[in-house]
Amino acid sequence: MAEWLGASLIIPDNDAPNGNYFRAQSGSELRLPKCTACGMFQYPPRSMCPDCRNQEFRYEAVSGRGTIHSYFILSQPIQAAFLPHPETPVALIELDEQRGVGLGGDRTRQPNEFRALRLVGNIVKADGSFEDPANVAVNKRVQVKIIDLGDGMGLPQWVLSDEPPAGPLWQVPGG
Amino acid sequence: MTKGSGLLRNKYAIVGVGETEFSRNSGRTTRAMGAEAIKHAIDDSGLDYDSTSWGITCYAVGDAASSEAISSDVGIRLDYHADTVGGGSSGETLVSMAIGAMEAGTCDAFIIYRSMNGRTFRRMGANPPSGTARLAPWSVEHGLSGLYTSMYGIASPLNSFALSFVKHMQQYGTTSEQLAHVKMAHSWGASNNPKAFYKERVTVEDVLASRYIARPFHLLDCCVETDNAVALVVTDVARARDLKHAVVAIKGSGGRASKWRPEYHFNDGPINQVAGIYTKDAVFANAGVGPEDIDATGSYDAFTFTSLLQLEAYGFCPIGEGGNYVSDGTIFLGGRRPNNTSGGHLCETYTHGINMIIENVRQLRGEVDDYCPNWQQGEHTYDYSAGHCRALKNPVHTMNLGWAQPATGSALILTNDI
Repeated sequence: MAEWLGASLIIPDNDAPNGNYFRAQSGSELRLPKCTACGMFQYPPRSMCPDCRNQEFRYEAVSGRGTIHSYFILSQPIQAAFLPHPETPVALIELDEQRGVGLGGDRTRQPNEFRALRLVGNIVKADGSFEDPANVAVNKRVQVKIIDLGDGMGLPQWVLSDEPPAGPLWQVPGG
Repeated sequence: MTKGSGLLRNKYAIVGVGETEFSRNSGRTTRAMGAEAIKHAIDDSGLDYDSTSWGITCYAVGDAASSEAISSDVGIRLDYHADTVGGGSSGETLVSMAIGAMEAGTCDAFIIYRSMNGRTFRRMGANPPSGTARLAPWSVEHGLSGLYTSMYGIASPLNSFALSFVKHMQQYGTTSEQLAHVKMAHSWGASNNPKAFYKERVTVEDVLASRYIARPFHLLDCCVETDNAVALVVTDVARARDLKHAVVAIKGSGGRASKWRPEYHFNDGPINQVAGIYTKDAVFANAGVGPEDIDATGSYDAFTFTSLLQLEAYGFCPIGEGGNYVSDGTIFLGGRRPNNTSGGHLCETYTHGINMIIENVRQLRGEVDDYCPNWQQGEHTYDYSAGHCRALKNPVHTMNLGWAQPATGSALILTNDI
């Protein structure tokens, strides 16, 4: 059985979009569902492409590179799994792929200026343990790190990269 | 009928409001509290229990008794009932649903209520009192997308909203100090509200000195969790004119609207703008007024920043300037456009939105229950120091801004000018 932070991951057999997603992360690359009709990556995974209403996706690898768009620090965790991990950085990662692409089958639906693939994730060190909040900032560049959950499933996390930042660095007040 | 037509402007009114005590340990069921709040609201309206054709709806998140059970206790026969699922932003939304049911000729008066043991049963932002750890194992039902946040530690409303406001701080330079003014302002209202749960005025320093829950957000950026029930009664204005109170008409409503893909809204549009950017077009067009005409706002304050983001979205200040708007005195008692004069969710109580609607009804009636010696005769001192008055001077329009999450919003404009 797949496990994360000591708790099992349970996805019903009839839930192909969610099951396929975690099974697709079994290697070292981030793989996302891509609509076989309009070619848009969709995240989170779903049964229907909201851009063209097609119901078929194929998993494809993306660069796994992105920028910290926003983040906060989990000062007071709630879930049992996170209780041993206070001060975990929770970030929103904007991927390099598909930034600013318009909504809808014709890509013209508004608003589209701010559309991007943005994934919630934790910032972790190279060994997979959670990163020190003091090292996290908006606009820092990150690279995906797939955490093996067992049972052929994986969970994308994010490691700070050596690339120059995408803009001025900014940290939450309080460090 | 088209969106924003305004055809039902001032045709319906909120004629009754009621609530139970606000506590952190009610010791009662949601059924018992719901019945009491509805009784208070019907008594407040003056409508007859037996001869009125009643409709009713409540909203809940699997945490309350149904309207069938509660109406059985209150002793009213229903011509329409439809309970709904939801939390914040439901109050404003159900007012327009109630109007629709009455326009359809199904009933003559409509009760909207929420009853919740929000501290002792289903807490929104923490484990239940049993200590059972929530969301473990990592599981999903109905194909929903919760795993893409929960597995990374997002387990409460504050966690799930935090990314939106941090982006506001980073992009616009909004500070924790500016944000703390929201709590300070609402505490001024609560200090003059005998029924408020937290009556003590707090300072910016108090907020910043409280512990972090999700950094950069402090304990005092978060609302109170309480056990309570609240209720509204809506009917048409013709009936309202024959009832007990000055008429408070529903001038316009909007939503609940959503941003694109609200279940996980981070991929569409600026994450630091909220669904009010869509709701505002309908609500202001329906009401035939604009933000500048609103004398007081009631903005959903699950957290300090939810108020700020909504006030921006509805155009009370330009996008990005909410930090100045909430800290320049405008939203305080005595300011140009006070917000949450009862203390709101941050200080008065947590009801998923309706206590702020009740407050605005009482403000428009001129019947605010403050510490003025003759408040029951509608006489107010307008001394806004602690322990005195919170009544507004001759308000004409109020607006409620409902929130469930950044990607959903509803709004309601009320007036006594009909």
